[in-house]
Amino acid sequence: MREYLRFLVRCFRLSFVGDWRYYTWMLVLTCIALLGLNAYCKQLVSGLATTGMTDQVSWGLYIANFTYLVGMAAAAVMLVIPAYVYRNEDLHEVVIFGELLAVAVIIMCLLFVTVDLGSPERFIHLFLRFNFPLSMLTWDVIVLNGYLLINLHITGYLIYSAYRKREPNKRLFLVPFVLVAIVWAISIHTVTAFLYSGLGGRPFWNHAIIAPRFIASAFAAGPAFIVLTLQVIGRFTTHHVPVNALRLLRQVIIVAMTINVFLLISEMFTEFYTGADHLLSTHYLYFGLGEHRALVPWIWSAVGINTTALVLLYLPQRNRGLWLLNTACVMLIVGIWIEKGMGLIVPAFIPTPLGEVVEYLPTLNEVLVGLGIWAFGLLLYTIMVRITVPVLKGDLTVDTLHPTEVARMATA
Amino acid sequence: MEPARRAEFVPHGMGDTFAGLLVGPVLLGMALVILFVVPDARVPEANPPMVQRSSLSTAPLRAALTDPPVASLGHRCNECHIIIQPRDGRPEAINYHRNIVLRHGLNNNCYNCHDRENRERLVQHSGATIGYDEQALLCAQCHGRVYRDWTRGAHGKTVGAWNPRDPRYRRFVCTECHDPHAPMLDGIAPLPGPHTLRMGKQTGSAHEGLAEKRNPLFHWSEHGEEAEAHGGETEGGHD
Amino acid sequence: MSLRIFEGSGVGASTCGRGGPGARLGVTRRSFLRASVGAAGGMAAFAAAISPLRELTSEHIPSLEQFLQKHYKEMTPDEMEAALDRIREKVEHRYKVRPNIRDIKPMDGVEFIYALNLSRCIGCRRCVHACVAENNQSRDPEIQYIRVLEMPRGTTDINQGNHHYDRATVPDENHFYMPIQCHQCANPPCVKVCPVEATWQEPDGITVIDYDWCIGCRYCEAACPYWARRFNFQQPKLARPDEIAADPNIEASRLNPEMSYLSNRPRRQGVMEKCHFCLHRTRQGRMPACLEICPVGARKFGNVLDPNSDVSNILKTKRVFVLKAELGTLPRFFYYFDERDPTAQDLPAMEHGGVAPKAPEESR
Repeated sequence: MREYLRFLVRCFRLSFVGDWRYYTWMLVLTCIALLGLNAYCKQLVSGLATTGMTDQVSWGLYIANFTYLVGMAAAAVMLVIPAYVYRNEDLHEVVIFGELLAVAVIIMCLLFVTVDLGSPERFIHLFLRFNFPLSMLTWDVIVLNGYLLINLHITGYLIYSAYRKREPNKRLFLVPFVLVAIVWAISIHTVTAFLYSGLGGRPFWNHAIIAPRFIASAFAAGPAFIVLTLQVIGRFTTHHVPVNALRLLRQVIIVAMTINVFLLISEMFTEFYTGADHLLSTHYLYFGLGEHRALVPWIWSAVGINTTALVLLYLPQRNRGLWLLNTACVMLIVGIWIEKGMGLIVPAFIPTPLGEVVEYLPTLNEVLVGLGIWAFGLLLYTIMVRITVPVLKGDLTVDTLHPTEVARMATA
Repeated sequence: MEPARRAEFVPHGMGDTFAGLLVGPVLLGMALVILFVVPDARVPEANPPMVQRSSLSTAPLRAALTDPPVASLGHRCNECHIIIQPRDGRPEAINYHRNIVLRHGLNNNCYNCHDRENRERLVQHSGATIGYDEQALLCAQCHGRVYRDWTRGAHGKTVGAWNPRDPRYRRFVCTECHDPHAPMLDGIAPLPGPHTLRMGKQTGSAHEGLAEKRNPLFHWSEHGEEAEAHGGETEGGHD
Repeated sequence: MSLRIFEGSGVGASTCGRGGPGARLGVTRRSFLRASVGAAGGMAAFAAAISPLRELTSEHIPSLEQFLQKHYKEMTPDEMEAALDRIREKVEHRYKVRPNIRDIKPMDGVEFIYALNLSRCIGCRRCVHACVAENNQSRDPEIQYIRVLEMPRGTTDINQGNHHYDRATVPDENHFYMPIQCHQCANPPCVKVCPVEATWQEPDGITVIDYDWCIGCRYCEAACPYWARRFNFQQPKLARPDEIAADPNIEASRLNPEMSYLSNRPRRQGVMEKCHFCLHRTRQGRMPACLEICPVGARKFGNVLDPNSDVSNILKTKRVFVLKAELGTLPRFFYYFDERDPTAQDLPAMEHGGVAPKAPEESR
């Protein structure tokens, strides 16, 4: 126990040490996170009126980001399945970074839900009268926190075992949890989709295809983010990131994105060919209603970006390095963020169930809170990677010093 | 560049030391930025229109005559009508009752309702007379369906209590809302419409563009919704 | 051995350490300077970031008793009385009016329903504002429980309704008017989704909210198919800021001091509210405020379990309908039209061409 606390302290100190690039990156993130904290404090005082949300559009940027990030967290499973189920050696080397990403991203999710609450100080009521199993939000609370704990356990156990130079007890402490995590990952995004698709009063959400579409788009955007992250890790740390791992992830993205596009086409056909009441929100999203057309440019950009990304992914890329893949990944992350955030949350509220059209535009304060949470999440993730790499490499163990510690002692 | 060392974010040069030194000042600068540069998050004032309670009266629109009826200045009807006996009940014959506008469709003769002999009584088609407190029975002769609805509580206004056995339960009689000589209610000015947070300027229905497709009556008027809206404004006191 | 040295030195130590440069020989002046400036900068930036919290007032932060207050259904009579006392004090402190607040329980053998005669409604919006005055809704930002839709003749598709009609006089002969408020569904989607059971259906059919229990996630607002729920995005105000500046007591004059725990007591920032059929009135036998004000008697209210009540008679004798019946929410809010009266005159022809269609409702 004492050893574990010392480990935590050393990790904490290590997170403050780095070269100029590390300092710059962390400093920028800290500044953005502070801006977000400041914006949230203002929101606490003046209420959610500081956001662009209204009774007409009662969920906005926060819940959109929450939804997107749940998908991102679930996508870590796309590293875990090949690594543990199919025993893919390349992915096994980097799987822990996917799990760490899941941890950071789930924390971001929980933050996004918290900032969306009107009375966060009464959060405790969740523990006193938990409307389970009726409310899908309670399911979400369970699966998100469960997923956070499982991944914290898996990553923490692996890292601490490496620190103590012990061989992890895979059969007892690892594999069962990994298998649970795989199922659990699917469940977090399914439950989040059910959150929306179970609402009969919102025809835009109220269809069965929402859950599969959520999963498909998440398994495209998530691995795309991981592809980029792994390259950053490979570039700036000594950790070996096999190119074949990236290639495998590319396959995953291609399949997921193709399914996503197929589901999108199915949905669009049903909506527009039938021309039922579903049409109003969809019509608003793609073509606008009268002079109200705030989302139209966004969604068509998303359509363009996603289609181009898919074409880029399908291009043969034998000798071109990774730039094609990277471009496609960046496009997918952005495109799916628009599609899922603005394209899936906001239009369900426009028009309202009574046919009133009030558009939604996030305010500066709201955007700052959102950016702050993103920065905080990246900060967390950077710190986790910062610690994990030397520990796994054997630079920082229970009885060895990390080069930075050696360096500091030398100056002392 | 020495990948093995630099790759681990190990500080080892002047640049790194310099970066470390800059952390504090940059954060201090950030504090100043937060305090003085970041704009306030206040919500724009909406200033919705206010409605005073005085404009929200729950009193009946009219005072119904009781039995026996009391005309203007506390006089009984028969005080005059013992002397004045118009030959026919044509509306043009109204001289004294200048405030009465007779706009009751086919029912345009005073003696359809008022008893020729006793002005403090109302007369039914059968010739039987009833008091002013029973005027609903008089209206019922023509407006049977409305009368039936009224007795069941589907027409008219019931206030005070929802339980019919509650002493506060009270149903307005016909003439507490309707002028018996011109029973059609006049239009009134509506109170202000919604003015919610960040609502923006709102016009017309949710989807004028789609209204064309959706409203079966749209094609009946040349300019659709807009024409109807303008038509509505010029109109007044119809029926 | 080497670890010991590590423990006692480095950035982390001087970040939290209070000693000066000379206190520890192992710390160089430069690294100490760097760390302390960094820590000072960090603290300054953090303090600046959370500085808006200075403006938090007792309206935002619950007292300990408030924080520990139980869910409505779990409170004993004594605890309820204590909670009511807290509300009395708070209202008196803020509005300078001593409220007459009670916790009014549902009556036995009563299930309330509402019926609304669409042939009669003239769209004057008296009900909207009477409701606001009765139920202490925020005037700024504006919160109203009732929306009146101006519907073109020939359809009951509420998407074609105009919420923002502004005419010299109503009704307009080419439209009919449809007020919509909480339908008090028998199968309420809003109750189902609430994660903390802050909203529930009472035995008399009214869906209520414990304003002290709501955490403000707005899931119920997303779930309601009738757009009946409202959120306090800001601290509610009973008058506009300019009016308060002109007359500090204006809020007191606007407050309705007759209130109950589950209905019209003042709400705080960050909670949901909605129509509750004026339960502080109706549970004492009276009619809702929106009905009392209606100048044309279009609104009907009563006990559906009583076969002789007005609303039972309406259900029996009128062709009623509910909004969005296909959603299975089983609203307790019924609409009906009158049959066309054979003695009524025909509607005038529409302005531009075309033959006047036979309207679904009777001419006024």
